[in-house]
Amino acid sequence: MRILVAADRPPVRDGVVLAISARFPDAEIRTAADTAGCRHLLERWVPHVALIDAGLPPVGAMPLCARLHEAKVRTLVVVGGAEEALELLEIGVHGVVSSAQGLEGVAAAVQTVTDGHTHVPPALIGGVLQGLVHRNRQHESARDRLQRLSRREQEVLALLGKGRDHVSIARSLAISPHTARTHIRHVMSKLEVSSRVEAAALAADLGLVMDPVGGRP
Amino acid sequence: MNVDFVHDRPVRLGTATVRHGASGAVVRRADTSVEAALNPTAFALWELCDGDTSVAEMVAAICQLFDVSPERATSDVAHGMQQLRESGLIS
Repeated sequence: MRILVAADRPPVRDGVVLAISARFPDAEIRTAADTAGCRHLLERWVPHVALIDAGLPPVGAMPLCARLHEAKVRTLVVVGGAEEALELLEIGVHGVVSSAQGLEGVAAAVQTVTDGHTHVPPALIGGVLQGLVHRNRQHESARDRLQRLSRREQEVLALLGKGRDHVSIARSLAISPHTARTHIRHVMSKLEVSSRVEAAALAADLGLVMDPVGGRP
Repeated sequence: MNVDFVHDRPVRLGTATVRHGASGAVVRRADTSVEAALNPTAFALWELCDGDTSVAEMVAAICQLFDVSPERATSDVAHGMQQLRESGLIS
């Protein structure tokens, strides 16, 4: 098995490597100290499992995790709290681990994600579940509001989501700019948002931006 | 199982103190001295018993977090709720 360990502090990195080596004696373990080092490594070597420090310099683990997700690498991230854990789990990481779990705990978490399960430290499960409940409510509320839009308003929202202004929207839909503005105002009112950007972001967040020609995705 | 079970919004009873351990937490009601050892997931469910969160919402969150089927999550949450009720920790 190939395992990537990425953390900027050498004592942490070395300790984790030792703990993982003890549990997986046949594993090929490679290390990196920052995201650039990881990307360089990933160009020629794809691990089965990656253990990444959430604060990996210079930009943190998030962009790297998205790339690892695309490469189907089972990814475990060392996090500080439930909010950070939830963000990472939502982009597809397979587990999160807390430094409070100790090196043995980190190695056990690697085993858990290797076995195909999700790992969340016991102390973070409650916070992550609460975060999920909260976000699910927000999404449900947003979906309800999207249902209020007429077909034309859905088309306008789709174009807003593509960053188009009212003049461009008017041209695309063969309507006057004044009418486009009216539709935009109605969209914002029905979605209960205060800006076009917020409206577009809400629809994009739900994956509900419609194709203005073909209707819903 | 009660068909309306998923619409329940269980609520924690009394004021409780919590002692965290390696394998979960011990919850003790200050008013009745009722004490229960909960595994991490049961403890998380107890924390969600705020009278506002429905069992259906708990099940949905469990499904998302642990990538388990709704049937399995519903069964696990039902079992957890039953234990919490029998322990006198929720209504």
